[in-house]
Amino acid sequence: MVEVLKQGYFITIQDSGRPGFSKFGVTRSGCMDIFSANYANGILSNSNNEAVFEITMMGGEFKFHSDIHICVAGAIFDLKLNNKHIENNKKIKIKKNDILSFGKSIKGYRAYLAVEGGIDYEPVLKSRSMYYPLTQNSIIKKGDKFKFLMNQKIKNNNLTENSLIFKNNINVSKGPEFDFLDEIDVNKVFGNSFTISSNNRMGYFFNENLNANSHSIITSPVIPGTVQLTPSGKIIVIMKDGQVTGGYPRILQLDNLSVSVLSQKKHGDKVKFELISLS
Amino acid sequence: MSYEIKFFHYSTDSVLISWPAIISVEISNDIDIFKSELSDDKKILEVIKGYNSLLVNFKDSIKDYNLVCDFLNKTYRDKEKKESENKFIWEIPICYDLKFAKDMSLYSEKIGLSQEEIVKLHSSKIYFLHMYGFLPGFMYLGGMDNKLAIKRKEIPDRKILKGSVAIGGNQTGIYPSESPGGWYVIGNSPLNIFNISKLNEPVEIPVGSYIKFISVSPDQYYQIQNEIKKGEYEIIKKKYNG
Repeated sequence: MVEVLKQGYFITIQDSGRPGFSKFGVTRSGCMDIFSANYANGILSNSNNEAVFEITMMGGEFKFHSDIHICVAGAIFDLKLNNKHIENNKKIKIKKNDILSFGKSIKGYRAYLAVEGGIDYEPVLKSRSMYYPLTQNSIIKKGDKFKFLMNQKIKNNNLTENSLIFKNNINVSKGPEFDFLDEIDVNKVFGNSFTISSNNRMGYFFNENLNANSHSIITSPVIPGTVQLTPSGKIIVIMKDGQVTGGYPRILQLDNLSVSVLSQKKHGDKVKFELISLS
Repeated sequence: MSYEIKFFHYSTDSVLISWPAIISVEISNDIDIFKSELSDDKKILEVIKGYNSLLVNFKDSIKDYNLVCDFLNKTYRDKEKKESENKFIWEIPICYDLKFAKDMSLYSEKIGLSQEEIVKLHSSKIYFLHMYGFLPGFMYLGGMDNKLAIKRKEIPDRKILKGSVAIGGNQTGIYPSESPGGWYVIGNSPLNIFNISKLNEPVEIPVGSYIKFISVSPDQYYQIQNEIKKGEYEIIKKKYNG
């Protein structure tokens, strides 16, 4: 069992999400940077679907009440086990009463703490991902205690090196309404950098504007990584807790790795969109 | 009937299929029938419906896009013709009393109709449930009277209560949970449209159903709320005869 001593800035439990329930209007959810979460699970021979803690920006302290192996991946935090620095991407042996604490993030924005067997948190609609009001809580809180599952181990022969998540280029393909952009906008999208003004699990927002416009579409599907163009010319990247449909033109679509890359960016970071072809 | 459908390579693992750009019951039903044909396909992660489109998200990256389009196109052309015989009109109780309708006065003033006229127009139409979206259990309904349309609020309200019945643009809907929102609240329904305690089937009213709003008094509202709490309430549904 693990006990939360300090709840940190924003820590949630996430797994690979709850796809398949958009028919009820339920969002995808799941780890923002699924590549790093998969890596942490993979190091422990967990399946990719096991629930992990998603630790955002800073803070969080955990006390373990039993021996277990863990792995931290994703953003690099000032990370200490019993006050001694430890590294990401390694299988670490934990003994009863050990204390793991997350300081500030040094590189990236979201870290993943996986435990051997997975975190036991009651699934709702086949997923352990926290999403209020589906799950009772939207974050973990001081004093919360979580048991570990003893799910069967699997072999992970091809774990991908996950330093890829720290690049600044975001791969995008053309969205269905890409042609709504004029030449000036197209040059801006691929010529300029975009500075993140704010972000949360629903979406990423940027300082830079494209042209104000009066385009709209009949409410249509969106998925994580869809880039929408709002009437004011602001662009929004839909993330894991975003809506399943939207009425803004979909000008670009991030590839899956780029959703993870963007998830490691925070307020003030700059990214560049790079056009890829899907065929 | 079959429509001219178009395919778009939406992402490495998804294809967007578009129907003609109109909101209609016929297109919505056509999409639903096609969608149900895909529901058992193990290669598909999720299928998301819009008014006139469907996004098919596969589990793995698409290797041969043309092959996938051929498969989808064939599935669409071969789909069984299903009669819409099992359609119901679901009756949703709404209390339009001012204490449940925080924006009624402002809304009434803005669109130039009396409260009685608004209630009459809103509760006399039969709506069509195209899909759920925006929030878990939020219904996208077609068929609202154009006289009730109003521009959304410039600044959305921070908190709209669960059950709020609201109007924004040319749409009307019920907030299934508390949420920020830019629509005008003209009433409240005691029903739990989205019920998380019902595992795997949290909504009772299927997409493709018809909806009618029934105006109830505050006393009836509380009585229904009480019956729901005791698990004694059942939504009234009547067969739809076209």
